[in-house]
Amino acid sequence: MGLSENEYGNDDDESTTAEAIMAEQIVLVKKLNIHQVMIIKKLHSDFVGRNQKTEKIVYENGEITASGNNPLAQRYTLELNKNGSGLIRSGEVTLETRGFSSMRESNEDREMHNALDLFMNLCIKIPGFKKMSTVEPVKRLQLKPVLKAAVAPISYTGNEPSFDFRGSSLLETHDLKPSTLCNALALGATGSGKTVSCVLPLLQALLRYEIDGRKTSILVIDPKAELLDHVKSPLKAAGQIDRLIVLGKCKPIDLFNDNDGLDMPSRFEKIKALCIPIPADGDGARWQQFADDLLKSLLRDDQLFVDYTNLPLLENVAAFIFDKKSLLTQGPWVALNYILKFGMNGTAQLRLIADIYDMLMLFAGLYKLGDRPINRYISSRDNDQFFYNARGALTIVGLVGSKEVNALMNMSVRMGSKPGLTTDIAEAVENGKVIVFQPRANATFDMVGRALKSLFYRSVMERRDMTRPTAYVCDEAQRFISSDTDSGDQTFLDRCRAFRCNVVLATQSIAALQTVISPSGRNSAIIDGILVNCTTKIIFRTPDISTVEMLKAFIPPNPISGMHILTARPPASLKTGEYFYSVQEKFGRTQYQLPKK
Amino acid sequence: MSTPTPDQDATIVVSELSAHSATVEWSGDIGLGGAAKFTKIIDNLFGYYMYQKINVIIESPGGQISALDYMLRAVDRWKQRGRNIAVSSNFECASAAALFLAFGQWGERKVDKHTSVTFHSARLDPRTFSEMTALSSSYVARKMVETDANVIANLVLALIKGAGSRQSLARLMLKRAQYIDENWKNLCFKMSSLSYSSSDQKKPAWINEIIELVSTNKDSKKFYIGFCQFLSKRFQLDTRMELFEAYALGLIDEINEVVSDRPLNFEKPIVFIEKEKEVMPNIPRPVSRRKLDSFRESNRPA
Repeated sequence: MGLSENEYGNDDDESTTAEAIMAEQIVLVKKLNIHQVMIIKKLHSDFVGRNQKTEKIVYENGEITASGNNPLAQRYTLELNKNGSGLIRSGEVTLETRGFSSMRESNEDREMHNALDLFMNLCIKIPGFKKMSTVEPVKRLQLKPVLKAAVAPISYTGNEPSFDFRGSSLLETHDLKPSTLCNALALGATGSGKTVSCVLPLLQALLRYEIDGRKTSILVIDPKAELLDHVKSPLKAAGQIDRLIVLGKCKPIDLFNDNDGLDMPSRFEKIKALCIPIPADGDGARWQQFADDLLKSLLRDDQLFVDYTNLPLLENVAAFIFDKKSLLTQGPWVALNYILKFGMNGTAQLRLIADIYDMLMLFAGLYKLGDRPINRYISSRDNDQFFYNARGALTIVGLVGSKEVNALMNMSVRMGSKPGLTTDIAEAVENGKVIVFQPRANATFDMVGRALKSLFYRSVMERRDMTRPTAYVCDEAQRFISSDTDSGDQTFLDRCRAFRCNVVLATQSIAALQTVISPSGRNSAIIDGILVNCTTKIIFRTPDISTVEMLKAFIPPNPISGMHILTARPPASLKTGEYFYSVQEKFGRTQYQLPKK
Repeated sequence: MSTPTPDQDATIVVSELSAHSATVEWSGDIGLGGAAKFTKIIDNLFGYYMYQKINVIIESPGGQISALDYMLRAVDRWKQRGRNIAVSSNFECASAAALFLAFGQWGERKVDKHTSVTFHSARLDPRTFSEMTALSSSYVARKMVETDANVIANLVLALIKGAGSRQSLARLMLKRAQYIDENWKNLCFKMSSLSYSSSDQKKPAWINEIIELVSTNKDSKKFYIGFCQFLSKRFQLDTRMELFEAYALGLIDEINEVVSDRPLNFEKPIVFIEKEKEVMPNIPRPVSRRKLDSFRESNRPA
């Protein structure tokens, strides 16, 4: 990767040509702003430093000099403003002292931007500049993805042991098997007892459940923080506390790995599906498309940059703008979050981003390969467009790029990233672990829940040991429901029976699902899919009309003439812990009796 | 055992079908048709509507023992599945209806203060007299004795089951009898109403008889036999039973607005905890279905 001096030592003709070109542009180059000079300095020294180059660019008294045979060693006289000269001498500047936060669009700014643009164009024209750029394309660590061989699922036969409810009976039977339960959907208003009378007994039975010594691998999403204690104590009592993994108290989880067979665009689409569970339509879809394009361009450039330099682009841009080294380690989404929000402040800020971005690409020798996604908005003088596109992009970046998410899950879509010390969900599923996630009540955690669920589903379907029982238990399921074709609930619920997975979803009502999945009624087929595939339905107290209508579909009319049971005893009148149920061809109304201590 | 007009159809109405309770009102004789209809109704209320408890209000002069047997077996089937039938009566509850009341859900058998409750021994349908011969009459007499013994044995067993054990039943009877004894005047006053005055009644003899029955038969086997004999004698009187007496004997649990176990804090809550191990004494075997059928066959008018 290092460059020999000979490589800079171009023949005289080339140098002369370069000089001539630069002379033409000298007037504009002179207008380079102190900030931009600092950028150049920092960028160059960073890259030179990182690549252990000895060449250095030195700035003194408004002059740029570079050591060695670097073409930049030629002297340029730069016109500096009053504040700038002092800053150069001081050497260390902070964002505030640079005055970025108060930058406003002005003719001077525009000129400075143009100057930098020309400077970069100029550099490109310098013969040997590409070689000078100190960074050679680094061959990406071509780790051949270890694509797992597809393992045929082994569905339940019906001969497996029954759940152990410790003397109690759920759904009025002591002989409830995973194949009978299949997927269960518990619906009920808040305080109707669905967690205590349905989710908890099922969860505890699943914790005890094993087939031929293979314990059940379970993902528990517990937004109300009611279930963890009930998971901990039985595991502790059984001496199996090592089965427990609590998200947030373990190492973060990698959402993607190089063996998942997904390229960067596919990963981005997955992230998008997690953040926006239901795609927008109409004008919203158009705006979302623009936002996606912006993000895709940025991520593509970032991937390119990583491929060539082994360094992250977005983190460097953000760290540079905000002068925070910590941003270098927080992943691309956090960096994007900073960058987009900063760019939305105004044209000057946007230009600064564009300049730094382009300079980095320039020094990496990727200037012409990249998309220059930010510069597009500058060139077209359409920073309003950037504002709206960035706002659209922030619906994704705002969620994925929050620090909370990064503490729990690495959602970087970069290819070839080195696997860190992370918690491996696939291994957890292989080994019968119980993964508990207690999300707080905000959209960010909802997204993490969906991501975790998606990862769990994938791990269930790609696990090596298909005989091991698995389960997904989710309280307040409307928050974590998704509809993408890959990991959407309706898709997985359809297949999980074959993969020995029992899904237990508890939610307020069908209306609550509709609010999330199909607010306009256009995606109601997804809800239908979920309802059809949840063959066990447990309905607690609810006045929801949709739920009552659904109940009527599986509870037949009175065999002797008389009113329908739901007319005489509507679900709204159920007592706490009392429920209607439908399992296979049986239906009933009962109350879960807590086991005797 | 039958009432004088066993063929008269009863009116059985589901008068209430609410979110948590259903009420069935039975008025009229207990006949086979009514029993079948009643069974179908409770099967529907427990099976389709899935109620945990049904209230039955029965106003009946009585009826056929075989119809009662059919109804009780249906009730028992649902009892085994944890469902209950609370029986009450407001005006008249005699013969088979009184037995239905006494066989009802323990703790939920309720009457009004002027309900006429009559327990009696087996009687014959008047129509059978016309065809009775000397031979058949002796056979019928034997069968009636058997039926009486069977009914009383089953009734006492049901009461013991409801109370939890023989000792519990005995203690409960004693406490109730003592309570009535101590509060006689007050209770009589409570029984008075616009149409009836009982405030000047003397203490009846049955109070001491019940206290004696319990206190002299401390052995559970003896208590069982003694209680069966006591009831047998009482039923043979074929007269209306005082409600306090029915209460003290454990045949009912509440006289509306007058007395119930709740304020008295009797042993009801603890009877289910106390389980005694005991060997059941020799009790009259229940008459088989076949014998009952043949008995009914023999009593059928030509």
